[in-house]
Amino acid sequence: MTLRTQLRASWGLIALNGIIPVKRMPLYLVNTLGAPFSFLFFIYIVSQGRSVGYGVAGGLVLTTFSIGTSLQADMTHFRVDLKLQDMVVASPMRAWTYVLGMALSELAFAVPGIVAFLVVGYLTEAPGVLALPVILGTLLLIWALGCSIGFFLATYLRDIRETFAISPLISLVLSVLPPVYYPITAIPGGYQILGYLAPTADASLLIQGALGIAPPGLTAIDWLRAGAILVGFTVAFILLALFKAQWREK
Amino acid sequence: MPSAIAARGLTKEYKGSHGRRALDRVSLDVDRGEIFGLIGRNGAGKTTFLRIAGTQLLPTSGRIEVLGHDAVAHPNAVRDLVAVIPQESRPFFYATPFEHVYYYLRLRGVPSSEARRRSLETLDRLGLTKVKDLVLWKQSGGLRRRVLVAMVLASGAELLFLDEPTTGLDPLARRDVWTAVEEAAKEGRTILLTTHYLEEAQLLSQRIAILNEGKLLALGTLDELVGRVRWPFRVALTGRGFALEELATFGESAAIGDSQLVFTDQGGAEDLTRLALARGVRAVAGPVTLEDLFIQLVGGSVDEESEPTEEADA
Ligand SMILES: Nc1ncnc2c1ncn2[C@@H]1O[C@H](COP(=O)(O)OP(=O)(O)O)[C@@H](O)[C@H]1O
Ligand SMILES: [Mg+2]
Repeated sequence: MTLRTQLRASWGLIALNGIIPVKRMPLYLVNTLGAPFSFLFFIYIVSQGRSVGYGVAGGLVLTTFSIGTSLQADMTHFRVDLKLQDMVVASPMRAWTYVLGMALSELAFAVPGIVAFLVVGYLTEAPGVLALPVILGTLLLIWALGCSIGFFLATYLRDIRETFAISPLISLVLSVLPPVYYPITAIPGGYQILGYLAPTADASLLIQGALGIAPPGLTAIDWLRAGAILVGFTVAFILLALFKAQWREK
Repeated sequence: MPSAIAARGLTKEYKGSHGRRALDRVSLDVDRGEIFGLIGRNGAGKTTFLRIAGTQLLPTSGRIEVLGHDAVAHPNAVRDLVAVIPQESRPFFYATPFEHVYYYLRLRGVPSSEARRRSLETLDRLGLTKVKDLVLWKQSGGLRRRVLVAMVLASGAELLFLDEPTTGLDPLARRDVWTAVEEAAKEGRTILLTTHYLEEAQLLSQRIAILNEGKLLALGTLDELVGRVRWPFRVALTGRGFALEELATFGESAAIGDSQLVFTDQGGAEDLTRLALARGVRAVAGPVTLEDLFIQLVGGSVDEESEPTEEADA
């Protein structure tokens, strides 16, 4: 198949794994909105309405990153339980088209949440003109990062239940502990560098900046570091997924 | 023209299997345009062979060419030409038969209108027109299986791998699948079929290979396989008109329920039938079936699991 046919082929997956299930089981949507919005609600109550922006930034990052988690669960299910990955491997569709199609199909579940957070963000904060491109660019990187990690893991896991063990761990390390939902300056000075190490925290920081609620006193170096680490992780995991995922079993 | 599949010394040792070979130096050729049946007990290595040929699994050693392409070194060249139904695969519970076939063709790069036409045609061929727009969560397991068959048959791929495609189907649905598979073969496509139903392998395949514990035990047309066994004829006797010792002089015999089954040679079959007529015992004589052959060659029923000879871990 030509590059164009491959790209068009990925639309089949968007229909099969995105549009059709959302249409037949709209309850899925509630599920994906639930977690990030409960965080926002929590932050709203605790800060008495003052730190909503952090909840928005964190919610955007978490909703987008969790696309990769759903991708991992779906792909593991397709490979292990339904054996549908075998059908795709032995077909003209290539691994990267499969991942792209699956990653796009998962957007069907996440886009409503992302839009909702953006609306809340624009209503409660004062984002600048450049905010939207910065936010969307950041989310694009987080999406690619999450999906690369998800695909890579999904080709190795032996059972869907291993997903249930790994996903909370990833979520703890990348969503809960690092400064995704709170300002990086809340971490004592010497340890802030640890916060920058989590690509999700860097993404959140960039979005906080776009929303105009970044902690004061960050230098240009801090911003560059955040961007560089986010891009670096994303590229590294895309390469890992491209070259080390187990498309054909050994 | 090269064979559809050419395997030479194909060997697979799964990681952590302590030297046990799922496939052990298997060499065989599948001709273009034939339906080739691969049979053997559970764990014989059928699925392993299919998954290596279909580029889903790497062999440990040996060579395999599929439609003239090295399946190990150039998997993508193979992937453009094949379609598979994996063993125990299941469709999505929330989509309809039509959506499955149509989108599977789209994934394979078939343009929309062509995909629609082929989907409807194939669903019709498999007797699924009436249910094509029903969501699968309300449908039987047999229907789900047929949807997968429709997907690969509609693909138009040159070589189809069907790993136990009719498991769980009722006899009528199974016949629909057989007809569709035969039509695909008539269109010039090659089909590699594994099955648990030996009458299915016998009915559909031009040639049959028997795998046992990873090794190729026998290969050929049914007649060729019959020529390899000691007792190429079977006589089924109703009732207990003969003593077992008497039957033993003709060949191998067994009492099954209310009747007796004797495997023998041609002369034995003739003599025994004449004798049965004289005694007023109902006798049905003929060449052995694939199942009889299988039992004679493998020495066990196809439904039994071949025990993995596991060494105790020290
Ligand atoms: N992924 C695997 N890892 C380890 N051993 C396997 C794996 N898949 C199959 N086997 C072993 O390889 C042998 C052949 O299996 P298989 O090819 O599935 O047989 P069949 O399809 O004839 O029933 C069996 O002993 C099975 O236990
Ligand atoms: Mg099998």
